[in-house]
Amino acid sequence: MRRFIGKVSNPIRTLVQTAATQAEQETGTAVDKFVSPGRQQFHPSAAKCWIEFTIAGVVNASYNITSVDDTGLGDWTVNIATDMSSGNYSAGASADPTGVVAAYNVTIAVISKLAGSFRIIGTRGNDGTILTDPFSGPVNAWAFGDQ
Amino acid sequence: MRKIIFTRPDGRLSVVHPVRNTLDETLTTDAEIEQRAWDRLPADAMNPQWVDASVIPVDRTFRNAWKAELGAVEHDMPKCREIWRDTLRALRMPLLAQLDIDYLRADERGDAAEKARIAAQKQRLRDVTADPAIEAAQTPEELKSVIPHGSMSK
Repeated sequence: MRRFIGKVSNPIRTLVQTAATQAEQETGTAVDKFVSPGRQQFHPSAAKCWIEFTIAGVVNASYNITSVDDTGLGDWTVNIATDMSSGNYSAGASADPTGVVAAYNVTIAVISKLAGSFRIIGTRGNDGTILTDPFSGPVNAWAFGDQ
Repeated sequence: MRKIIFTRPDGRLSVVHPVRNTLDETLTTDAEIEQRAWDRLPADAMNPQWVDASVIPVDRTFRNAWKAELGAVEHDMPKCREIWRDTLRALRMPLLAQLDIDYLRADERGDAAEKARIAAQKQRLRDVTADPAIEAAQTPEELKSVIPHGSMSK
């Protein structure tokens, strides 16, 4: 085994840092803590849940979701596993409108939110009525806010 | 994984798809994931029940006419007929618009025969939703075959 023998010009300093707690992550102001993978998602800038699913409700990929309710053409409810702290958060959705009748286009929007779920509606872009014709999707949805 | 179906207070049928998250999933078995979805059903869910995924229709043409029936998803045929009439109305809309233009041009030419032909065709388009075959259809498949192709054209 080789050993280092020589002059050390700078003394070795021991740096002790601790992981940020959930509260510190949620506050988001500490600059002397490190972010651990298991608490990263508590920062205000992190998505609290996300999902990609087909119009029939089949899930392709997701995080922190329990289920998707297919309630009709262009009408879905996304249920969150670890709830948001209230209904005051930001949720969004989008969709690939491939297959929808060309003259209609399609608009996807989150129209209501609860702490544990949010509802997405697809409407025709030309007149705002609920979709009556299937399209291929998929639908994407996500939420930001406090859990 | 099984699905859950239930009826909402407004009469619509919801199909619940339990989710196994692709990232950071905390549960391991299908049974646990199914139960988690069941536990999150809305309080006003009526007659919730487990169904095999195979009973969910693949064809979504009449999705808004689905109803729960003894562990299966059936079609409410009166609703299907209305959906099909709406489909026919949407199909004929651009045809009627084009016929209006054609009629004006025929009028400018003083072509009475063409005007009469167009008027008759417009009437056929107006009548497609009254086709007796719509009321006679007893299944979604029969209903989908009721497209009077001769009428749904210029």
